[in-house]
Amino acid sequence: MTLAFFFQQLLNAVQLGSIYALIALGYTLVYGVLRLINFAHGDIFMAGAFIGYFVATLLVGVGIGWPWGFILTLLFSMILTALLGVGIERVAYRPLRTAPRLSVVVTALGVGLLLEHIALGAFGASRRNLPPLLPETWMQSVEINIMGEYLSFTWLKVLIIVISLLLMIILQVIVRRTKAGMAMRAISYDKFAVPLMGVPMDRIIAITFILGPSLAAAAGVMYATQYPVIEPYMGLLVGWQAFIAAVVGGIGDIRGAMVGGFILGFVQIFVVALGQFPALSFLSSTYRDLVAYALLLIILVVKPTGIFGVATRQKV
Amino acid sequence: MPLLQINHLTHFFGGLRAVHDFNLDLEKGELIGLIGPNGAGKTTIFNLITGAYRPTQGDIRFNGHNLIGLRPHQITAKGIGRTFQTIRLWNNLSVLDNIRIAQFAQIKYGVVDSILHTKRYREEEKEIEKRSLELLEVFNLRHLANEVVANLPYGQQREVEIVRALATKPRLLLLDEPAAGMNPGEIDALLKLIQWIRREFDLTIWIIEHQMRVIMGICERIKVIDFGETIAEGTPTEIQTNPRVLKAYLGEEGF
Amino acid sequence: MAQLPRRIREFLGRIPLLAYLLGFLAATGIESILGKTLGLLIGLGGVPAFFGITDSLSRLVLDKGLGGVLLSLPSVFIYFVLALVYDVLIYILPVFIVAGLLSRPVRWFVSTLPEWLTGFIHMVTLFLSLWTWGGLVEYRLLVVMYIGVNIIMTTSLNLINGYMGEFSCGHAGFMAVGAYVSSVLTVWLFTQDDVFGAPVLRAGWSVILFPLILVVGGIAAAIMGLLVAFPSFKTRGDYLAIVTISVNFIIKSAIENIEKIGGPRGFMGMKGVLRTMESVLNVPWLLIWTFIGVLVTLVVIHNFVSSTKGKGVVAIREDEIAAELMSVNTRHTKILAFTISSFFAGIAGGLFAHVLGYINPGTFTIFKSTESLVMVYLGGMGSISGSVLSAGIFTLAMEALRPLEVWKKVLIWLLLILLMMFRREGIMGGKELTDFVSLERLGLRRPVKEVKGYAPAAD
Ligand SMILES: Nc1ncnc2c1ncn2[C@@H]1O[C@H](COP(=O)(O)OP(=O)(O)OP(=O)(O)O)[C@@H](O)[C@H]1O
Ligand SMILES: [Mg+2]
Repeated sequence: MTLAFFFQQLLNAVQLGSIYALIALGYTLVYGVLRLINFAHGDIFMAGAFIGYFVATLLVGVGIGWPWGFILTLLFSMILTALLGVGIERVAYRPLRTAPRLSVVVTALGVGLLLEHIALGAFGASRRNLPPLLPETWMQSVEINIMGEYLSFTWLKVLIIVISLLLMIILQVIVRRTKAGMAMRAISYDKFAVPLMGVPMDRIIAITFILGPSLAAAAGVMYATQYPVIEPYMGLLVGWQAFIAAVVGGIGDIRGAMVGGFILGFVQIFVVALGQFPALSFLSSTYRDLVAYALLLIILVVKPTGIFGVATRQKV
Repeated sequence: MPLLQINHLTHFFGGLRAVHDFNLDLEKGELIGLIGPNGAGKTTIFNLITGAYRPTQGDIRFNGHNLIGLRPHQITAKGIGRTFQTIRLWNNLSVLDNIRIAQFAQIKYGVVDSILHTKRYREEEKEIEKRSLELLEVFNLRHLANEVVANLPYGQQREVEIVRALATKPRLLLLDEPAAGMNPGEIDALLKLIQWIRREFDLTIWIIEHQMRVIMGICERIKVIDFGETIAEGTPTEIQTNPRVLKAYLGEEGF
Repeated sequence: MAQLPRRIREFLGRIPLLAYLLGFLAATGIESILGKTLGLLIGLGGVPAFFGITDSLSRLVLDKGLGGVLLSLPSVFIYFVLALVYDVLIYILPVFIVAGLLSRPVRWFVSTLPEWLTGFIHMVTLFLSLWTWGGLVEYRLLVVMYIGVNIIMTTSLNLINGYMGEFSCGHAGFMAVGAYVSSVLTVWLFTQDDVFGAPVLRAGWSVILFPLILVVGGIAAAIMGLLVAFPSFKTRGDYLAIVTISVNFIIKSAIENIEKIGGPRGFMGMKGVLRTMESVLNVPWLLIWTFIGVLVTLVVIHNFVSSTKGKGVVAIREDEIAAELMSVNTRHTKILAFTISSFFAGIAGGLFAHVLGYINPGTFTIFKSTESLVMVYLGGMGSISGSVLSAGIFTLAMEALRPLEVWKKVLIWLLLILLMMFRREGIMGGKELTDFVSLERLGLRRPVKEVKGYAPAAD
């Protein structure tokens, strides 16, 4: 494997990984606070992409282009998707807060499938393209010479990585510097610590359902600028990968979600990349998912709580 | 040979030393007590014996067999029955089912028998049911056999838990604070019951208590632990006057 | 006057089950003779497939926006009312009249027979009425078999999610294993196939080996079930849910990557198997085996969970640690539960594949698993009769609502969410049908004392 090839794949991996990480954060935040696997989160990501699509179409339609079109699309889809997230929590999860956990998990599965089929009914199954929000040149591959080998990349990939990292830093600031954020982290360690901190539980939950979905929406918009895949099932396809990332990292742990996202990005990109070598050609791209799930299963068997997760012991 | 032999038993929860160098030889037929303040490590010792936790160090022998590394149900099948500090019955099942399931280890039929309702299955199930009802009868609980456990009052749930422990056919019975939540009248009745069970079922009994008063009357021998350490051992009278025990209990509740 | 409804209820309550079944058989007989004429006469244009629900809904205009929907509503309504007339004339009146007339004779007849024979007669009557009902409109027969497949799926999943209280959401994965293994075997052995070539065995064998091959599919699925059973020693709740989902995905991706059995394109040829079987003896093979499969599943799971050994499963649900400490071998019990459950999912898969005639990996996704979950929760956790009821209702509803297209799915998931909010215990609330109506009253068991069995059960 040449160095340039390696760097090129590395860039791809970091880009895919950062999308996974953004979505995985949503799974992890909700799990940390509510101990609920929010199975609907993948479809919230899908909803974010659709909202982004409509916002972008509107903005491009009235002639707002780069850079404001892009920035506003990102911003509005984040806000609207956050509203959707908070709404889902209000309507579907809150009435079940004292119910057995199983019912909430089932509800979450139901909400996800509901979103998916509403999208299918309303928008159909065909794939949609985000209208051009970025200058053409950003999408074209640029080649740079590394020791005689050409490394090709697009500025779009760089942009996605930069924005993702920026959002993750903002998230870190929120959970480390604000009172509600600290309370959020505290709950994920100890459920009973929070009332002591004087922050109402409802507010913490609301903030969680603002942060998670807005990150997912950002991921959705960026994913859609990269690939022409806005469709009702994208939540199932991409969302589940992100979910695996969250579990691999240790669901409930913020670092875990990020690390898990990048690990999964690397593994998947390199499995496909290695398949380009004749000797390894059996690694076709259909193995991508299989590898992801195998990784998940291995982690679950070896360390069920993921890389960063801490086991909760049941007391006898 | 003692029925139960515990040597240098030590257990850590992470950095917390819950039990330290605990030793005991329990002879067949004895009725002994283990007392100590809150968090002294009493329940942990029961959990170590019954296999719920694996000890950090030390060994436990029951009737000559090493118990370390066995799974809890195997240990129970060897003849150690127990109750829990906070009642842990199977709440949504009937009293009868609670007792039946505790005889799981005595089942010899296979799944296929249970699916095909073979003769062997029917005979064994009949035997299990008969034994369960007899046990309930002995405790005057037979009329509650089909009652869902969750609907019983606290006192009866405690009794059902003891019956369930007896259903496992124990030779050694471990009772974890059986008198918790009872008033003095109920406690007296309970103590009588325990002595009666011991004779009737030919049992060795080990009781954990938090309140010393409760077991002073019935135990022949008492061990006192505090912060995982054994601080005293002897007859009730010796314990009552032991200065270290008094100190450990000072401010707790006295005698 | 207020007495009348009560007296009717009491009268109906005294009618034994067999009389109702005979009533239904009579109704299906009447329908096959008069149904078409009556349907044409009152303007339905033929025999309505599902009591007129599907046909009325198919008059909805969905592709012209809300206006189209609203404008088509009157015609939907009119058709529905006409169909209702049909239903009353063909089903409701005959069923109750025949059942009422036969009530006494049947009760007497049943009381003279040993119980096993009574049960057998019930089964035969049920089978015959399903067959005549399904025979009239071919599509119905398919739905009857789907119901059977779903009953097997639901009861077997109920063993894990209801009785054991674990949360498995990858049941379709095991179904896939059973479906593929048995289909590949039958197609290879009994048909001329592009990939597998000429039939290996003579046609006569197909009839004998078919049930055995279903069992082989079930065993393959049961072995996969171990993939879930072992992790379940260490983890439960959420994490086990994750494990089961990933097993579901892994099985699906694995099948997608096996080119020989069609990969993502799917696998077919099972219709040929059926033709082979019918060439030997022309009976409704699949209906028969589905029917038997359902019976076996119900008996096995019921007998298992009511034995002391099987009650260990429930003890695990109630308090796993206490179960282990009170002598229940929890690992062994979990392995048993997961293998039994996935075995039957495999059987369901095998039947499903042959009923449908074509399978592809996309059939066995998390959607299918979640559908099974919906049926389990709809029927109520830990209730076998609940599972049977909900599988029947759900499957019929799904077929009847087919004209609603995607919105049908929207309705299902909405139903699931509402169920979790307002009736978490499901239709049966963890009880069995026999907790409400005694077997004696249904005429399935001889009354203990002669007269007592006739009295309505005390409420
Ligand atoms: N599963 C566990 N994980 C971590 N620490 C534990 C666990 N179980 C017990 N401990 C700790 O070990 C110590 C001993 O606990 P144990 O329950 O044995 O006390 P005890 O003597 O039974 O007290 P009590 O009278 O309150 O029942 C306590 O400090 C307790 O917090
Ligand atoms: Mg204790």
